[in-house]
Amino acid sequence: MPSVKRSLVLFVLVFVTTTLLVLTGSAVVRAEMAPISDEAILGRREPIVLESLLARYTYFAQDGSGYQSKAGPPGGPGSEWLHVHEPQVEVVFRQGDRIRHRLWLPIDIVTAASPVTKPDAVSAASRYNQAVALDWTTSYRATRAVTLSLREGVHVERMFRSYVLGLSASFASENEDRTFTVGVSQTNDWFDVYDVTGRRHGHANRSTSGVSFALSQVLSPTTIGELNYGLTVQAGELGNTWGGVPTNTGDRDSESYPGRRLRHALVGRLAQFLPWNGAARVFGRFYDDTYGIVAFTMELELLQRLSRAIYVRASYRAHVQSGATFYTTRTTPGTSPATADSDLQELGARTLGAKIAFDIPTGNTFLGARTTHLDVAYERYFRTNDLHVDVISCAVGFRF
Amino acid sequence: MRGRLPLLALRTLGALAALAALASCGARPTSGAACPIGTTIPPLELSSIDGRRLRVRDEVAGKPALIALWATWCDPCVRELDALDRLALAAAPRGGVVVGVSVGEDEETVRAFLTRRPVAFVDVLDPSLAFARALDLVSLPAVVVLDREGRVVYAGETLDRAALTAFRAALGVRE
Repeated sequence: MPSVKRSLVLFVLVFVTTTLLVLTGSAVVRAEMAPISDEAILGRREPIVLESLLARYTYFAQDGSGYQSKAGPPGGPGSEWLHVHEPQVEVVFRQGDRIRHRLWLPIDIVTAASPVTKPDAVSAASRYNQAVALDWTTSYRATRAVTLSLREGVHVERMFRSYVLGLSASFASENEDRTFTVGVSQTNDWFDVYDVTGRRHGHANRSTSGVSFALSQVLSPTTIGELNYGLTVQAGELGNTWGGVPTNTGDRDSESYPGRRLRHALVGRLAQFLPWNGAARVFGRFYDDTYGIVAFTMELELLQRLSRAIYVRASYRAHVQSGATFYTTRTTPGTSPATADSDLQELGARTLGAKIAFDIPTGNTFLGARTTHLDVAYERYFRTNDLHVDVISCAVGFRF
Repeated sequence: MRGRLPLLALRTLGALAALAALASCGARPTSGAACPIGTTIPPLELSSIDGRRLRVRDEVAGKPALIALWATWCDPCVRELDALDRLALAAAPRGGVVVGVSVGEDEETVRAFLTRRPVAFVDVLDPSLAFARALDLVSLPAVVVLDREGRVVYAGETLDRAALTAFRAALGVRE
């Protein structure tokens, strides 16, 4: 009997020990075997993920003179003094794995000197004007090779409304070194018509339809090139309407434009990584339209990374154009089309720019952002027909 | 409100147009576009971040592997590091391995980054892009899944559900 008792005790001990060992062992195995499910590895699927947030402020200070402005001597060019304060906000977020949104909201606060001389048109509206716009681009990654984009924009100001809708599709080649993009866009503007004396003549509208084709190609592991052609057809009231044209009788007529314009633009871009942690970008654009304007623009941009967190950029842009066939600074009353708008004159322009940017790793410690971005930029635009613009901008942004 | 209605109408029209375009595109697989399925990885000797000279092919021999190509400047790549860490820890006891390949950057840059943000997987350096080019991978991030025989069974852009499904299949485990 004692031996039976001993056997029973031994059995219980062995059973308990074995059970404990198995349980402990399985617990150890379970601890080693971390789950490998989608949720365990990729994390919980958030419907909306904020990628970046950027606030920018840009200040434009324009000065010069042009014959369309009345803020000058009779028959002579008037002031084109204009200041614009433009705060902007850009938000980029993802919706699931394939959809990405970019929202851009600029607000323009415009102060202009050219309309101050009575009785210039649009008087108060041009002296001080506010405009707000919303630009919303959604891209959908249909497959690895195909991306579709939808762009919508609305611009609202005191006497002007504009809506834009754009669609584009990008097709990447098998090894993704070549991308072909085709896009269409439609812009409709509605605005009040003022003549040169400041009288209002109801509403007018303008339609701008565009189609573009772009081909980008990786030319080497450090070089990428792009070729883009755009065709735009404009119809409707294409002028500002309140701009003036000096006449040979010493008076001023309202400007008038042809009701249709066809524009062609061919753009080439080349970006090259430089071995000292820099990059060079070259941009060339040839432009031709049915107003008789032929233009060529060339831009060179150099970027240099000074450290992991700092880079600088310098840019130079040169532009030459012929004038519109109906540009004049002295017209016979009643002549149409006619404009004295200095933008449509034969001219040469230069732009010099510099920028410094900081991308500071913040490791989720600041507002949950991985990187904080700061930049300050300055550009000076000046051209041969007496106009120059200083552009100062600064930005603060977060990448999450 | 006057401004909203036309915008909504335009957006609806745009969405319909996008759907129509999508329908005409048809469905294409999202994997295997760049790196041909069935190929093997090149037997290139690279430096690991801990100073060893090794061949990725030898490192993953006989094991299902997920190779992630990344760079410190690449935001989407860096965003994936947490998930790659979790995957490396989950794959190891199941006989799998995760390997990172730092593309186009020198050792000093990668080392400085990994000192601040260590990773749970082996990382090798591909400063001359030789490894990436041999696999025809021209964009970052990129993910390649290998089976036990070292053949590419999946190639994609990011560590997403499709890549995980392929890696689980190579490991022979269900979710």
